[in-house]
Amino acid sequence: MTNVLIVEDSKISRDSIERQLSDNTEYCVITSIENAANAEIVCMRGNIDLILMDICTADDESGLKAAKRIKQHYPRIKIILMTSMPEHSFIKKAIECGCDSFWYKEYGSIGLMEVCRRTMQGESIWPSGTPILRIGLAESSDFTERELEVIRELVGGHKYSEIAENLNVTENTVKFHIKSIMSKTGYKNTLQLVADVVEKRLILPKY
Amino acid sequence: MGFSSLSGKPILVNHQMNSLVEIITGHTVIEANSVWNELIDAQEYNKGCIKLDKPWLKTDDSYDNENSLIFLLPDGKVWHFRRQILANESISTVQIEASEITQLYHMSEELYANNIRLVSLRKRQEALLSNIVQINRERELLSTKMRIHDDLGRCLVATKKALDSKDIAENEYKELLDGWEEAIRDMPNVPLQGVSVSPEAELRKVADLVGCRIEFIGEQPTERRTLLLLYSAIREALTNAVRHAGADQLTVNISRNYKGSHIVISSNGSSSVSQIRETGGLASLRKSLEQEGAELGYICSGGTVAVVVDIPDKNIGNMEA
Repeated sequence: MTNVLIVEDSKISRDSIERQLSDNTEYCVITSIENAANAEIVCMRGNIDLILMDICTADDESGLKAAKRIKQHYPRIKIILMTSMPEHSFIKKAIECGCDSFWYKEYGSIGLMEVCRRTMQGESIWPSGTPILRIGLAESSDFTERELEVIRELVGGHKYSEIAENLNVTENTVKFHIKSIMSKTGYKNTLQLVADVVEKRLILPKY
Repeated sequence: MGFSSLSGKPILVNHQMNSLVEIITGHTVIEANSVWNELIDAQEYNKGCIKLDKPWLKTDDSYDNENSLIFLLPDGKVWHFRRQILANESISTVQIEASEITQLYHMSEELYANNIRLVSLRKRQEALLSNIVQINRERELLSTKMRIHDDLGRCLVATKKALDSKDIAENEYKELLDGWEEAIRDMPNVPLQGVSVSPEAELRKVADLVGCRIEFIGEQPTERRTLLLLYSAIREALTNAVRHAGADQLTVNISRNYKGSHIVISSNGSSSVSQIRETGGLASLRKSLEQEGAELGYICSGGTVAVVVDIPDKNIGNMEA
């Protein structure tokens, strides 16, 4: 029997996951919560085997941060991160946090129950990549890692000089990257770019 | 260009200046001071001449409104008139100069419109950033509703087809029934409206799961930001009290002072620590509290540790900023 903690702030998703797990006798849902920051407390019970952890949870609490803390204290517990957000950095951050698997709610070709089963068997299931989004005239896969970092800084509302300092490059390099991004997207100003990447959820600065 | 004495007697006026003044006032420069006053405050200008009062049009910061005037003339050109006193040791002269700024005017107008649009975009960005979780929740809800709608549609089409055929196999019947059951089972899960999160209810629930009871003394703050900071502190105190001190009761004492909320979180656990070393959760709590202007402290005495948090009211923080 696998004891499961569900961390999901959307009631409809939570109910659906609970239903799928209750249909399978191998799983027992210990509890479902909405706020990732409360997950570590539940783990203190000592009987949690698997956590299905949403990334963007109630009160803007990050499932990534919670997963990192839980893995530090309870490395035995398997964690599957779930999200419907196509944020480009989530997979990389999930790996860095030590999570075991990653499941896209909307974009995945594999079902959650299969991800749970294979994860509990010791496999790590990761999507082949982040969903590709259209940003202006470009596709999100057209941007380099550095360009995505620059866009993230712009979303954070930083000035060119601040971006240069944060990324440890010169202001001219920042301008070069921004020129390249604008050329790819066809946008005339950075605010149009920022509005689009946030609206399409390619970058979520809070997480 | 035109020059006059301080009393207004013209010394030198070129054709262009004379012509411009005539277009606006209907007469040439006879007396410089009266012409300037006329330009500043005429009851009526000649037909097609408009004095522009556009605070966003920055022409030159060194001229105040009294000595700087902008006119749109009937030919569509925009002229900027500037008046200044040129003084040396022996003589003072008034200089009035006019320069055509049509291109600058139109570019400034465009820039002004763009700035308004950018402000609107920035507001949209801020709204998006602050509501992204809620927006996503609504998108998920809509997506599920659409899926249920599609499932029901498929069931209806399949049922109609089966009824029309009048000859339905046992396995087809079962498949149809399973399809209906699947579609109907999801329906009660679709909330009609958003479900608000109660941080207190969830924290009490997880505390119960680890055998710890939370008792509140005093009135909880009503402002959402303060409440979330309070619950972050309780969460951290609860984790440490249960993990390191074996506590099964947490007491949260809330009082008000002139700055805001003063909170003391204590437990019935026992601990031998005399000094708190902040790592991980506590360090992270301090960071998030201090970002909001709140303070974190500890009271270690008699084998127990209490966490002390002071959260200022939001308007106090703004006033100080």
